Amino acid sequence: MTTEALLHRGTVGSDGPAERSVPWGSMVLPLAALVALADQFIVVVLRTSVGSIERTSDPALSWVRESVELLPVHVVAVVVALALVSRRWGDVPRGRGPAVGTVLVLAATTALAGAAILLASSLWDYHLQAAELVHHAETHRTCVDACLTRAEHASLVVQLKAVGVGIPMLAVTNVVLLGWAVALRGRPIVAASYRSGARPRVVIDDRRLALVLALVGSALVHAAVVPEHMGEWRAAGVFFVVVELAQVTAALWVWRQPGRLVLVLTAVGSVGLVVLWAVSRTAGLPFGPEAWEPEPVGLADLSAGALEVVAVACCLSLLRAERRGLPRGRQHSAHLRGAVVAAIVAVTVLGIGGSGLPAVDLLSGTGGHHDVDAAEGQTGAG
Amino acid sequence: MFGLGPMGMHWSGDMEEQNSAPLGATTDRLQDQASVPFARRTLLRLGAVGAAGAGITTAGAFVGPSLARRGLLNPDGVFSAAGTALGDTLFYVEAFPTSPLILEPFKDRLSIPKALEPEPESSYLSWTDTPGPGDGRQNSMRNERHQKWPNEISYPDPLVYKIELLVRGHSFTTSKVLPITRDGLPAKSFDADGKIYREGEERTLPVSTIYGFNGTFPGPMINAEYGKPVLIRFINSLDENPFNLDRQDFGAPDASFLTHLHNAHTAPESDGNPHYSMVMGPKKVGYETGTWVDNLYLNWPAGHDDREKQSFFWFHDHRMDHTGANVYKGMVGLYPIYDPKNGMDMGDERRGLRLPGVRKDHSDGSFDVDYDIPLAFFDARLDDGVTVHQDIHDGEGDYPDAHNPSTHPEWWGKTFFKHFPNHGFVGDIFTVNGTAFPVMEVKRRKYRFRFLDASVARIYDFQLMSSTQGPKSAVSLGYKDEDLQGQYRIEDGQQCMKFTQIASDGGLLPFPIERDNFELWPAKRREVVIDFTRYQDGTPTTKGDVVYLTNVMKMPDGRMWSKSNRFSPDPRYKVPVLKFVIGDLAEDNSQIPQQMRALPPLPSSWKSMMDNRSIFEVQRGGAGGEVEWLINGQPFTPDTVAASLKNPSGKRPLAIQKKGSFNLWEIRNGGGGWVHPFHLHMEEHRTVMRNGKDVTQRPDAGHPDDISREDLVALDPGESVIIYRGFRDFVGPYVAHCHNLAHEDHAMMFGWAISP
Repeated sequence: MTTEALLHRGTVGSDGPAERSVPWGSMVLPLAALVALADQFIVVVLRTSVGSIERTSDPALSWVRESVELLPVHVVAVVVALALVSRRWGDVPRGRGPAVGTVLVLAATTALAGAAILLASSLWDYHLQAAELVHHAETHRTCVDACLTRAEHASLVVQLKAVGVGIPMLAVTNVVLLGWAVALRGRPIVAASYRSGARPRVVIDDRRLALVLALVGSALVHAAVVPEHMGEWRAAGVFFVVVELAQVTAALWVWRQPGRLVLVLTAVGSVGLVVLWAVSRTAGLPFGPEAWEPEPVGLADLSAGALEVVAVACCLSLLRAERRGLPRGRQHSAHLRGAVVAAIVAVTVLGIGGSGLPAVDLLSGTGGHHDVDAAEGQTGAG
Repeated sequence: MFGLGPMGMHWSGDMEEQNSAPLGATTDRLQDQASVPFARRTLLRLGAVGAAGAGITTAGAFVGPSLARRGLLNPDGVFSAAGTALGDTLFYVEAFPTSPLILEPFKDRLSIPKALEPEPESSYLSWTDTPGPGDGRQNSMRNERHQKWPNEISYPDPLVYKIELLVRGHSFTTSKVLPITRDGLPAKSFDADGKIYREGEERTLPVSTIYGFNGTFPGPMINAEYGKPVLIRFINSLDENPFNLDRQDFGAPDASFLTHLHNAHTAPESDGNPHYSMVMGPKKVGYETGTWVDNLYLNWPAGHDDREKQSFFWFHDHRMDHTGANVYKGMVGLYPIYDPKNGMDMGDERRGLRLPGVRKDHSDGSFDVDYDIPLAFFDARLDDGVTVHQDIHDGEGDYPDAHNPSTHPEWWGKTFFKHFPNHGFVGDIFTVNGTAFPVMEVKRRKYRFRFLDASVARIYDFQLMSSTQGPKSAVSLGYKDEDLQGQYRIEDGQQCMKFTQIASDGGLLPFPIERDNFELWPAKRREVVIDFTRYQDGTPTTKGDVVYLTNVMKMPDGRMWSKSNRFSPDPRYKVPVLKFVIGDLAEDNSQIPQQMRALPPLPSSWKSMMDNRSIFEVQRGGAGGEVEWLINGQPFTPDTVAASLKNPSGKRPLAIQKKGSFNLWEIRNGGGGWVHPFHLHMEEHRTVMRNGKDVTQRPDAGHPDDISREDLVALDPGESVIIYRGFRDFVGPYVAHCHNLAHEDHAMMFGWAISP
């Protein structure tokens, strides 16, 4: 490897100064996992109480699945909290006030994340319930027009009430839980850790790292929707396989040789995907089995679209830096970098969770509707 | 990391943690550690561990037994219990009033229905639309026909009955009542004129408005016989209100009805099921006012097999989304069915099986049977005038005149009902044949009693008890809130007699079973013989002795019991519901037979059918509006048949069975903390497996009736039951549903069909 390449990747010499970093293993992941489990318990319990019926089966499994899949969201919250703590009280907050403040800041940011998840979950429940109400009205013909509107409104009110009840529960739970964690630890939480310069380490430009992650994330989301599209229209399935392979190739290319060509190609390709997605969700694609019929916006395509927008932004930023001759290897603070990485991972995981893959499905739970082949009609054994 | 080290509790940080601060900070930390007593950190950790341990232990001790009793001591159950508790506390306004205390229980005599008289031929032949076969003769819409007229099976023309749905008044007691609060304290009361009565003032109850078959509650009783078809013309006259009664805020808002003869072997057009009604016949949720329908009951055993004969049906409303409200408003009728073949069970204790009964034939073709008494149990709740009325139907604007949410002091003392899908609906006054706390004078001889649970959701567990002190009001014993349910107790009650069970839902058992007690789930029937000549220890009874039919199952809401004989019995919960006073000796030619009706044989290959069984699982949740339950992930959709969950052979068959076929169906209770009496229309079934165990030879201890034929699957929390059933004689759409009517009305129902 050439010296230039090493510089590109920002290899730090073995005798470098201690490097400030996010305490992932000792702080962020344990705290995020703890909060994720607790907060998702509340979210799932609220759903069990008032949520859409098709999402209420197997709540324990839903809890585990959602705690795992939404862990990156809580990681973002914890990293942001540690950044704020570090800024306010330093990397190792000492004294009763800073220690309590640290717990409160952590509780606030994680509760905010939990509230966002709860709100999204409740609105999704409302969406499903409203659809069910319409279905019920159409098939039973007993509650239509004004009655249906009132029923939908009542359903929305219950969901919003659940959010109103849930947010204080999340906040109190997180304060108690994080206070308990600090007590168990026996001393205050640290906001940053320091690596000695003893170990050589590869450092990559933040934008390039984000670009690689966004491409890989988008590719994973596209891979997750392949089975569904293969079942609907094989050409669409093949298209997503091609897109996924192209994004992985681009990611590898960017990682190894971030030249102008690959950045331009990646930007153009990503813009193309975003435009295609926008057309498919507004006017509808002019071909396929449902030509000119707009597809509904879903969590998976929103996530993939967001990742593609990030990819475009990163490409443009890197191209502009190159045009201006700015040095690559630019790095922001460890916490900001960590938060961005965690956010991209979170969006990726959300996208996969919204893809409809049964094992990871965040939207319908395991009690969802089953596709039935009418040709399998029962004839009995006698 | 957070954890314990080999030297006790200490910080066992990883390398990252060891390097968590620059040199200066590390030095500071060391100084910090030196300056802070070790005990403080240890104390913190001990406190954290101790608090967690104490919390888990305390929660386990207090919550664990309750969860276990409700079948919720599992991961999903914890969520269900927490969600339910949260819903009860924050989301569901499901407030029940406390009924006034009936001050003189066991004074009103038990109402024993007489057989309804059929219409004379001269009468029904003069009707504009005479009953009969052929197109357009089955209902007033003239768009249906009877699938099978009796002559097609070589049966005589049916006896014709006319039953009108009428708005009338009904009194549950003649006793004075004392209005009380939920704490049992005297309360104010009200009347329809706006007058307020002070606390402690005794009152007479106003009549409750009912929608009754022929205007009575329970409705008429038809004594039917196998081989003699019956046709009932049901006429909806609920638009008429000659006594200007307040219709209140429950019952189908459009006053429509749909009558189901539970669980007769009946063609779909006469079966009164919504799966049919929505797509054929009325093509609506029910038969509206001013319409009529002829329900034809062939009184023909499934497959023309005598072993499939049953013995006690009842008819009740089945109008979609309002079955519970309509049944609670009075739409209940009785239909014992006798078997005259070889005199086996024809109501004459001198013939056949010689079960108790003295038959009196009437010239019009009907007959009554003395010593053969139907007992319809029904729990009611009366308005206290201060409880807010509010449910989903008020939100949907079904009862605009009620202006709910609102209290209704003008309805004080009348029946209260709301759709409470979260709690279900239970009453706090237990009635028998429409009377609260009735008394029945019995002769010193054997009686046949036909028990029917006509309640919306309540399950009973009956025992026969004697009491030295007699009934005491729960209020006088210091009980409050839900412990007031049932109003009276015999805390010193002791079992004094046994039941001899002779029949279940599916008719006569193969042999009688002696029972200390038995559970009665909603819509289930149990028939027993009680010998009033002697107590269980052999001591003869004497005139004037008193025996109480006592409910020992405590069921504070419509979900399930909190105390019962099977799970943590409450020795103080003994609620007398019917008082027997033993009278004179009477002639008794009856006998308890050794053998009764043999079960239809199970095919030896039934286990080979397991892989291809149809599986239906009920799940709890909310979908807004009426939908609170799903079956296999789907709410009830009237024009479709359900699909099975994937069975062991990897298929998801539709619930369409070929006429003449048999199959295994599995019914699973997937909702935590709820019990379900799951009813399948059309043919009774046999339970072959419960919770994975073969019960064809030895029934589950908690469900001894599994060994008989039934039309309801009793599902404890988390249970799974596999039944064997046939699909014979008729084709068309049917339903299966939970007979907790609060569940049924909130979509816990699925359509299935028999194909030609």
